[in-house]
Amino acid sequence: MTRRLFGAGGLEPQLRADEYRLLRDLLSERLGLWFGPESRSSLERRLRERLAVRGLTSFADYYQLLRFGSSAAEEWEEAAELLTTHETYFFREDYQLRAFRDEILPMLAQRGRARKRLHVWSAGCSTGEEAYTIAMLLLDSGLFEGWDVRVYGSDLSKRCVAAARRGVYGPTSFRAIPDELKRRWFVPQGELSSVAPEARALCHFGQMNLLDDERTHLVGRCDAIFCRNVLLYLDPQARKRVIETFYERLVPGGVLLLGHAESLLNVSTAFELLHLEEDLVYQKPLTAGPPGKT
Amino acid sequence: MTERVASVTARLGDEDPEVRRRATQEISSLPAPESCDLLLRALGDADWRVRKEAAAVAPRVEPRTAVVFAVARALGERDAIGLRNAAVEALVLIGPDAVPGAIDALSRLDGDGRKLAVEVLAGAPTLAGMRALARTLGDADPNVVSAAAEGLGRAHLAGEEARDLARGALVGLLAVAVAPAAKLAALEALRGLEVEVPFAELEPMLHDPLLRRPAIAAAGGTRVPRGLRALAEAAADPLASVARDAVVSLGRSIEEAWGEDELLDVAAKTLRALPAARARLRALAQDREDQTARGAAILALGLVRDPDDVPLVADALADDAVADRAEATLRLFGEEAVQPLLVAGRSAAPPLRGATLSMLPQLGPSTTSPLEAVREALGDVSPDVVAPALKSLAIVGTAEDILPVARHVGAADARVASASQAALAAIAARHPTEARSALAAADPRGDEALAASLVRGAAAASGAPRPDDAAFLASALTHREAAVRRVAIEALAHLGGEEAAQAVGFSLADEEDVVAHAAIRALGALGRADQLAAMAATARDPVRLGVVLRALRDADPLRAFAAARPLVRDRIAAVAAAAVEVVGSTEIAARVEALLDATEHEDQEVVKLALGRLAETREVRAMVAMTRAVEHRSENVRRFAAELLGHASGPEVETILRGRLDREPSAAVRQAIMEALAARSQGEPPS
Repeated sequence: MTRRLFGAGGLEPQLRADEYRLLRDLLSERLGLWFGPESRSSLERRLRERLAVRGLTSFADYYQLLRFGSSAAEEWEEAAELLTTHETYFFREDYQLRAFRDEILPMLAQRGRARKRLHVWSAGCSTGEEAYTIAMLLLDSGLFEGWDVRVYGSDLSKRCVAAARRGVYGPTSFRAIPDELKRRWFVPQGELSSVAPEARALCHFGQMNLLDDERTHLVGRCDAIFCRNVLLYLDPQARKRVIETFYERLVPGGVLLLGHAESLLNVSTAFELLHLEEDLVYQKPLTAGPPGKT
Repeated sequence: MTERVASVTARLGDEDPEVRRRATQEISSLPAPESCDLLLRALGDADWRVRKEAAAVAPRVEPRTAVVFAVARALGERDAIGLRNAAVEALVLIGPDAVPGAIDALSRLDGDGRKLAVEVLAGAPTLAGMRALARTLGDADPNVVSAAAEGLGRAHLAGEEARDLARGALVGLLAVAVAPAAKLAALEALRGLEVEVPFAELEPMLHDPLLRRPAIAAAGGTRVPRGLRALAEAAADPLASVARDAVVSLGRSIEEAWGEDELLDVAAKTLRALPAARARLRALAQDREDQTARGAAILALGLVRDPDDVPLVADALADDAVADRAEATLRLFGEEAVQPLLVAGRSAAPPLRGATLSMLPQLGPSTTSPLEAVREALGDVSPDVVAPALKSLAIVGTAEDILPVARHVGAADARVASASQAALAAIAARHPTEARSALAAADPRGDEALAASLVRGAAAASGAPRPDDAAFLASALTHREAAVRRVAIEALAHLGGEEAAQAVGFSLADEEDVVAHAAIRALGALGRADQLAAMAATARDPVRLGVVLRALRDADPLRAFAAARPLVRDRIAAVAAAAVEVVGSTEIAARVEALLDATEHEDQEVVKLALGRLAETREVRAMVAMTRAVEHRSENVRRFAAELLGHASGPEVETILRGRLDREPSAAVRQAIMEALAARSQGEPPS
């Protein structure tokens, strides 16, 4: 049972149950984000400032604005900024990155040696730390010299994508990076550090809603997709759609890496499990059929 | 055998699991009885992906009754573990239709098979299934008994009657069971049902090493003094897992006892006497990975009221999941929290610093130091700090703050600008003379026009208008910036009178929507119903029409109803939605008929809006509409209607929901119906 004993008081607009249901459904439909009953106060807190900015007095008005307003497109961007989680840092979940470096990259290098092309997608890249980490691993591996190597980073948030493009980071982004790697891959800029040019050169960033087929097609075919700690914020239907997109975007034999708390259980049977020494990842079968029939 | 059946059969025998998986996807389109045979074959495939795919297609294979009994027979295949597990999954996905098959299996399978049948009944909760599970508590096999007890923990999803039945059966089991596993399962299930087990019954179990932890978990929410003391003591348990559960349970009890100081004092005294308990609370209050325990620990720290803990609590203000607990706790600290909070805020990242500033006025209104800290924050470079500081000044700011606040009204950051405008209006309403004086020299077309218009509007709203206000604001309507024109319009609305209405009228043609819409709203506030009714009849733009209708509602609800009523079925959803909102927010009796009409709209969002408004009327006809809506073609509407029915009153609601549950094809809607039944059975208040 959800309790709301401690909600904000005073004159600030309260998110009523019916407004919450309408907004919840709308956010799920457009962004794929899922807010359960326990998230009602969190949703209220996060969106309340938008009501103030827009001069609205109720969440019902805000719903109408998002659904039908002439400035809805602009407001959706603001809402997406507030409702998505931007927490990330370099070399996050290192056991998975070791598996990627030691087992997956050699496999992809072997398989792609004829085409000499490697494309990796960091889906939900936030401020870019994951995409740059991947680029650093690719460069360090020495397996892809002379190849067409690209790392695509995409995120729902325009501000995050802009930050990713800048490639300049503060101390919180370096909480898990060994000193030697930091020295190798970053250029100090006062209290901040910027990503070394050779890693930047591999990375391309774009704003993207993973439910938007038109946009996701711009990524092209990928050999590996990182989508870590994104699916857990999506509703089951959106999760399914996103996984179908990944399946469709991966080349046969391509791999999908999810966060440690995420799995495809009850989402898709289209991927095979690939057991690695330190991790378990998903692989599109080499004999997979044509796109769209997962 | 048709060509397609032959093709699928052949591919199910292929070596490559991917080929077999794809063949499985086609089974539901094949004719009976071959489809059923092939389904069973795929459910028993050597590859988990094929089995999983088979379970997913099972609900689409016909005829369903034959499929259910065939798959249920597979529960008895002792040596085929993969097949049995896939059969359970398939039957659960089939849902209530699978229940008769599972009940039948209970009567003829061995212990392992009965356990699987129990899993099906738990996974597809129905009243009949729960009755069967209650009977199974007398099974000779202790594993089956434990599984049945666990399954009864989902009885609330089958409605009130099922929950009552489960509660009785589980309490009975708790009293007679000898096996600790059965007691444990019963305790867990009762917790799942949110049944409060009297603390006197739990107390003896606190001394049993096996049952201590589940008993502590089951005691969560108790309002018995002995229970609160026991939970506070258990927070000092050397076993981290036990201590963690004790803190979570204690948190629930604190919520239940919120405001009952004597009761809370029992826990507070115990915690203060136990350093190990306080150490555990502090550790959990910092655990970002376990938000349930973090929130509970923060509340418990509020009872202890040690100023050293304020920074820990303040840190949680930045975490949405526990921020409400942190705020409640800081309010418990009151003025004692002010100084530590100021210190914590100074070194914190901007968002957290902002959060601490927001709290200050709520803690120490009688002291000057919070106000000084808030004023100082206005000079911060981060909008995350400045905006909350402005919000705080809206509450505690004085005449001294008028100009510093006014400097931010045109800020580039929208949050800062809106917070500043709200703060200036609030302070000006409290200190109209000083505010006017501070901005007396403002030019209505100059840089200070926004602040001056806000002040004049606030002063007028608080009953202190001046003769020159109308002229100043009318002049501000020609300002180059839309924000100034909008604020001037709003101020004129507060001022009232013919002169104001005429001035506002010119702004209806403003090129900026934000200004034109403000003008329309102002006409509503000024009571210009004739003008608005005329606009409602001619407006073409759906968003503008919505604004007009709402403004007309403010001016004259009867005319607004008359204008909006014909539009509830407008083919443009935005128009219909605005009309539904306006119609639904009036108290006119005919609104029910209009809202019923809107539930026939093509657009599902309009239907949902109408249903939401109808639910508020608590009329018999609203119940009829919601009953119809759970049969709606749109899954989204059915789910929405189920949620509304979960909070509706009337004995027939449960029958309606259960009836639909038995026929509902969508798993998402079935889940919503079960949750609605659960909400009803647990007596959640209407929302």
